[in-house]
Amino acid sequence: MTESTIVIVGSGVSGMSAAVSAAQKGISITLISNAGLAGASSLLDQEGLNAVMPWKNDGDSIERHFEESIETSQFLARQDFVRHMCEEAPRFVSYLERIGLLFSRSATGAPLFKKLKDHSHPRTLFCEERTGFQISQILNQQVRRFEKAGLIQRREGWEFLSVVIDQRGVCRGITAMDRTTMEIKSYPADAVVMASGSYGGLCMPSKGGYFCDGSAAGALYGQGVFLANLEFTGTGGIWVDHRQMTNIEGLFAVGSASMAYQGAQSLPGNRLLSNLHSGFSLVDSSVHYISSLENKVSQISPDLFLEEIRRQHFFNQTFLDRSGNENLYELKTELGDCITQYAGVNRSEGSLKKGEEKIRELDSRLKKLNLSDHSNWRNHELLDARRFYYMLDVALAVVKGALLRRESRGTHQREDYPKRDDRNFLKTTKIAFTPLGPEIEYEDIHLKYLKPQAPALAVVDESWNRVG
Amino acid sequence: METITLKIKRQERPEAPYYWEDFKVSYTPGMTVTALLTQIQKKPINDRGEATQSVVYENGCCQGACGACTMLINGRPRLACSTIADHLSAPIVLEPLTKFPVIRDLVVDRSRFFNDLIRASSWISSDFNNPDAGLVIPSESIQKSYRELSSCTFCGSCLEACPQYNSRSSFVGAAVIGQIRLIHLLPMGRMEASQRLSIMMEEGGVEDCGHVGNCVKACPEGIDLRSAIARIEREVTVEAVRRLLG
Repeated sequence: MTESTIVIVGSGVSGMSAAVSAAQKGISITLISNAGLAGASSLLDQEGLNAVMPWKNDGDSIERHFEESIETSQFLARQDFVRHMCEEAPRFVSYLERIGLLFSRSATGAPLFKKLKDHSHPRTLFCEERTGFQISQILNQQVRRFEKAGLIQRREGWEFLSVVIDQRGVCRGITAMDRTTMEIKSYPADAVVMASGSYGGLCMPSKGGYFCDGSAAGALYGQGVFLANLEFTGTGGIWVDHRQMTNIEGLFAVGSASMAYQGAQSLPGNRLLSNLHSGFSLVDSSVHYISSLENKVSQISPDLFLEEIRRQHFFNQTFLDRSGNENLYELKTELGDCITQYAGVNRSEGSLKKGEEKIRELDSRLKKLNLSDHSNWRNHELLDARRFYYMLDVALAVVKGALLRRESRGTHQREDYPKRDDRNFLKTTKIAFTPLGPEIEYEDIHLKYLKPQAPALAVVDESWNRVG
Repeated sequence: METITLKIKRQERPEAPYYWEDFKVSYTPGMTVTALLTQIQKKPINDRGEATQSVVYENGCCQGACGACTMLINGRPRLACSTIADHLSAPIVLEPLTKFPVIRDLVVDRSRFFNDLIRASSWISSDFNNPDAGLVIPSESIQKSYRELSSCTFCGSCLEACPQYNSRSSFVGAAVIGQIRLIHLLPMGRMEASQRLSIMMEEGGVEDCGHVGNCVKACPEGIDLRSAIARIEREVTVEAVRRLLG
C-alpha cells in the first residue's frame, strides 16, 4: 500500500504524536499543517507534564491524579480517556526521556516536580519554563526521522479548507490550499484526524498564537460536525465518541481540537499530557475503523473530490468579489474585544446577549468586506478572511452555549447563576450548526469511575482499586 | 499618538522586481514590529496617501518561540514579534531574509533549511514500545549545553549572518550543526553518531564553516554555535582517523 490513507491536520503535539505513533507501527501518513510548529500553541505551553512516577514514594497515586483531573474538569471530562491517560503518563515520561528530552533536575540528578494549583502532590515535570517548546521540538525530531524513512509525508504551508464527505456521510479526505500558490488540492484518505488545536485565538491578541483560532473546527461545524462545551474557555472543541471519532464516520479529532479530556476546566499540567495521549491512542482506533470499511477511498469516484474543490474555489471568490468598506483586521479586533468583554471571565445573560448581537453585526459587516489584496499568490488576506468567516460561527456557538448553561462551572462563571447545578447541567453541551444559528443539545455524562457525590467522592467501579 | 515610518522592501512574486514602499503608522512605546505591521493590515495606505496591497509577513506564535517572523530589521536578522520599536532608529527598514528565496514581501521559503535538518538526522531512534535502557543522567555541564542548544527556534538568523551560507554553496549552516551537537551530548544520541558524521564530512558539511563567528552574534537565543561547530569538527576528525585505521 503506497497511498497514504490517514491524513492528519495539524502539527502540534497531538498531531505529531498521532503521526509518529502511526509511523512506529509502519503505517504511512500524511501530516498537513499551515505553518508547521510555528502554528502550534503547544509550543507555548509552560505548565509542564503531569505524571505520577511509580518510584516516587510520597503518598501520591495514579488514582489521585485521575480524581483531581476529573474534579477539576467538574466531571465533564471523559473518564475513560482521562483514566487511561493518568495510567500511561509515566510511560510517556520514559519515552520522552529515551528520545532525548531532559527534564529539569536537582543538583543530585533527581527530576524536579512542581506542585501546581488543584494538585494534592507535586507531580508536574518540566523543562525550565519551556516544557511545551521542548516536547514539541523533540517530537519534531521524530517526525523528521520518519520523514526520512518515507513513512510521514509532511505538507507544510497547506491551509485546511474542508472535509470531503460522500453520499453515505462518510469522510473521504480533505481539501487544502497551498498558502503560497493558492492551489486547492484534495487529499483523499480513509481516515482524517483533526489535530488543529484550540480556539484561544478567537480573542486577539491571542495567547495561543496566530493560527489556533478555531477556524478549522468552524469549517467542520458548518459541514455538520458537532462541537461541544465551547462555553468553557479553551477546553471545548470538536465532539468525539469513545474512539475519538466525530459524528462523521472516518473523521477523528485529537488533542486540544477535541472536547474530550479537559471538561469544564483543565487540571494544570494535563494539557500536554492529554495531547500526547490523545495522539498516541488514535492509531489503533483509526486502523480498526479503516479495516472495517467496506469501500476504501481508492474506490471512490474522483468527481466527489473535484466537486469539493470547485466549491472551495467558489467560496474564495465570494470574498474576492465583496466590494464594501470594511477592513478585515478591524473586524477581527472587534471580535476579540467582543469575546473578552461580553463572554470573558464575567458573563451574564445581559452581557452574552450583547455579545450575540455584536457577532451578528460583525457577520453582516463581513458581507461588506473590502480586501486590499485580490491576487492569487500568497494572499494572506484571503486566507484570513476565510478563517474569520468560520471564527464568527464558532464565536456564536461559544456565546449561545454560555447563554443556555444557566450555572457556573469551571471556566464558565455566570454572574447571574453563581452556583454549579448538577441536576440540570452535569452534561456535555453538544452544538450543531444551522443557518439560523447554533442548535444546542445536552448529552449525559458517563460517570464510569467517579460520581460527584457529597461529601466524599464515591468509587463506583470495583476495578478502580486495582490500579497503582 | 506618535507616528513612525516603516520602509518596506516589497516584492509581489518570486520573479517580480522588488520595490520600496513607506508607511506611516501610529506608534506607542513598547510596540513590537509585528504590532506595527498589524497597523498596515488595518489601513493599507502608503505614506503618499495611496491605497496599496497589505504587506505580507509571517505570523506564528507571536512569542519568540517559533522563529517564523524572522526578517531583516534595520539590516539585522531579528524576530519581528519580539523586537520592540523603541530602540530602533527611524525609519524602520524591513526586508525579507536574503539567504532564502522570497515568496512575497517579507515571507521567504526556508525549505532548504528544513530539508537539511532532515538530512542531518539529529534524532534518537527509539519508539514508544521499546524497552527502557535506563536513563543515563548527563553531568550538569552537559545539561547546561543541552539547554542552550535545545533552545534553537530554527529562525534562520545564523544562516542569514553566515558568509558561507548562500545559494552558491551547499553548506548546512550553524543551526543544523548545532542540532547534531545537541544529539551527541546524549549517550543514546551517540549510538548513531557515525552516520551523522558522514553527512558532516560530505560537501556542505562542517568543513565549509569559515569560522567568522557571525552566527553567534546573530542568534536571538544567544547559543554558542561556535563551540558546537568546534566540537563537531573535532568529532569529524576523530571519526576520519578511526575510519582510516579501520
